[in-house]
Amino acid sequence: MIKDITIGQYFPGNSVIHRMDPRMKLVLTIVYIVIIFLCKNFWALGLMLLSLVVMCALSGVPAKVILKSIKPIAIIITFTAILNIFYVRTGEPLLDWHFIHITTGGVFTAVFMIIRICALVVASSLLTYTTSPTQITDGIERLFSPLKFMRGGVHTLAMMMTIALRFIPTLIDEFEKITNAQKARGADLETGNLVERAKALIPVLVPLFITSFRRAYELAFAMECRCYHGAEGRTRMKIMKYSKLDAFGFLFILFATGGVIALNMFFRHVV
Amino acid sequence: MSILKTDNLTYKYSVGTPFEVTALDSVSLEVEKGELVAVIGHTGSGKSTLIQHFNGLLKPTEGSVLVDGQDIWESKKTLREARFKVGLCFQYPEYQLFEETVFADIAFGPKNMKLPEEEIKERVLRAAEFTGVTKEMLEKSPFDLSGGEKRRVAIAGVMAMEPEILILDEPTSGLDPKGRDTILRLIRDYRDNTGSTVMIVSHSMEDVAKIATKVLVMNRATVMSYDTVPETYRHAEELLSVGLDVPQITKIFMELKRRGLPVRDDVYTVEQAVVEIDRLRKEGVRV
Amino acid sequence: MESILKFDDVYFSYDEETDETQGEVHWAVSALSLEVKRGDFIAVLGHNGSGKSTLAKLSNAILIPDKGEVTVKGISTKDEDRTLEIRKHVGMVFQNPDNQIVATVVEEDVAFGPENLGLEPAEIRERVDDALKAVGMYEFRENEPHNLSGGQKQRVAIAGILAMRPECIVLDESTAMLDPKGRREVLETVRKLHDEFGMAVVFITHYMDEAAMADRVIVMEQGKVLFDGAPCDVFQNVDELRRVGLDVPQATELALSLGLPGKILTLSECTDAIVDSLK
Repeated sequence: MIKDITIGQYFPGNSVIHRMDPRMKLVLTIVYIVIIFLCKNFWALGLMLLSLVVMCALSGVPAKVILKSIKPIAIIITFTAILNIFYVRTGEPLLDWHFIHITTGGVFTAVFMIIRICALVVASSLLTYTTSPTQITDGIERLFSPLKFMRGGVHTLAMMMTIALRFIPTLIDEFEKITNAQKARGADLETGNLVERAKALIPVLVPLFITSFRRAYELAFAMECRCYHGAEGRTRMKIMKYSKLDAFGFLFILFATGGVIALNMFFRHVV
Repeated sequence: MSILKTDNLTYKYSVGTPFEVTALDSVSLEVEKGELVAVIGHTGSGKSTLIQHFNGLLKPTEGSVLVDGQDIWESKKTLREARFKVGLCFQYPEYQLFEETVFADIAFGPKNMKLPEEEIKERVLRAAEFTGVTKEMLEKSPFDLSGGEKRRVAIAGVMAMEPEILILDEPTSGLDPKGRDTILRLIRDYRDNTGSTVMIVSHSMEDVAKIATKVLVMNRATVMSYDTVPETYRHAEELLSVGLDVPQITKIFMELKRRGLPVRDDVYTVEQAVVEIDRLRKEGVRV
Repeated sequence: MESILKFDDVYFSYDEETDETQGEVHWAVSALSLEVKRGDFIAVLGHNGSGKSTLAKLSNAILIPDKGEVTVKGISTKDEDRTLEIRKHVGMVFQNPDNQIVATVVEEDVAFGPENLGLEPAEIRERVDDALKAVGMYEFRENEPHNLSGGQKQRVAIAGILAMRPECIVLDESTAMLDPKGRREVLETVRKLHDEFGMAVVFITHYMDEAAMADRVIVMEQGKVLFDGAPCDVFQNVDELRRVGLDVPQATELALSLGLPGKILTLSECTDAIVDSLK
């Protein structure tokens, strides 16, 4: 059923990657992406790619599932690759035909870019595959909590995210129910051109919005009755604690960074 | 001829996945024209799935649904006809109101039927009168009405389509006793005045006893019984054994019978009970 | 017994202007006096618009009386600085189970209240586990709320209130949207909280069979108290209750129609009385 599709493509499991602290995972992902862009040659990039493969293997998420995350951005990748192939004019010429000039430099840059983008996407997907949306939200909130001036804002944002996640299945249910009710009144939602179809959705969307506002209003009441008063003086039941796993993760990325810097310096030539 | 018939109707959710559930298991049923059928059963007994088959919202996995002798899945045309022949009013129908005025909302169904303007107007006014929706209310926004009024407007919206079979899924849920009685009365009046067939899905045994002519009991995706009200309550033991409730009066009479009193076993209202106890007194029955 | 919640000649109106010199004021609740003591189990019965939900909202400072005073353990609900304290003492469960669950995991939702109170993590954990066990939802602690039945969701909502360890729990038509099984679950849970933990309960409903389970029934009509007493006494007023749009237990009605002696409320009382009358 449609409501069983979870947002953020979480892939439940109990691997070492799953068990890592969401805060650490967030930081590692960001650091990883930064380093990817600091890689200046294939050796450095290869090292990062290798560490990513290791992480993926550790996560226990099937390779097929991981590779699926690249699919939606295939067009962007292709486009970037083509641009690089045709417009980069360094290195040896490979093909000179009328206005098309392809050089070794162009091909190298294109391949480099493809790997970079794929690594970036796979790394962030690995985060969402191994961390539930709730954990990510919590992680963001707690990561920022030491910053006093930002705390209120981040808390509000995180609370909003949590409530949105909580209500998405409810609203999908509601949408199905109202759709059925209007269909029973003869509403035709399936035929006609785009404009007609959009118009036909009004009888579904209006009640959906109104119900959502009512829900929001009632939820606000219920939250107040449970002593909600923002971030001020609020504690959490689940404590996030960095474990040995997180230390390993940290060391792992530290070595990778060091490796990348070393490789960047050792193989001076760019690409 | 029966107005509504199902033949070995089977419906499965999520076919081919590990979550496959049989919601209806070869249900064969015939409903005569003009009956007021109460459908009872637990949440998950299949009663909601069943009624969504009658107007073609759900497609049978196996078996067929016949409205007025016509298999509704024969063609696109027959399916569209079934939508209008069988009016289905969902639970909490007030949450489907969306138009700017009550009038426009009641007119939504008839408009979808592509009826002429005049006819639409007539039907809206007729349905409004039936449900006690006043002239002033027709001009108002549906969102300015009280809960009970909204419910009546929503029911009017389905009645205005003047279906041959009107089906209401828990029309009284969430209402207070007064609101409940109003809705039940208007459903009974609608059937008495139009001669239409009506089905109501209900959890409340007392409601069922008040207005139904027939009771369809669903249990575990199958029809457990389909009979008149007194006959259904004669088998109160079986209803209780599958966790369904029976009216308090029926329970009292079950107990009296168990204690050896020669009482009838199809008593389910206070009036019937008084008559029966008076009979015992007159006949000088002693414990 | 110690008084927990007290209404003292309370008036409340939803009208903007409540100055009586300006003409007639429509009071949602008027001249309402009521006391809830530790260990009470009170049902408030009334049709929609009788003022029973207003009563609920007045009890934990969601609404503030226009006249008169509501006090929770001696604290007036007018004292804005102590609203949190009041809400900690008087917890409220609402009608729609979906609209009061905040988190995506059952146990995290139950923790929401105690977290707002700023308790220590270990203390919260203990309270959450206790609360979930008390409502029989402990095995479901890691489930997602949207996969639960209506009755289960409502029990989670009750646990969320319990975890704040209130002295009194107000249920505002919390069974109205449930099927018979869900209603039974909620009723049994509430009954258990009262019987085993001595929780004061105010159970607002329009189902007379639920009200009949309470120790005391208050019937509201037009913002005023119409009847206040033990269920068997209150339900003797069949005609009056019918007039204000309420039901009466069939057992009571039958007993009165047959002219049976005693104040009959339950099935077995009625059966016994019929048998006795035939001896």
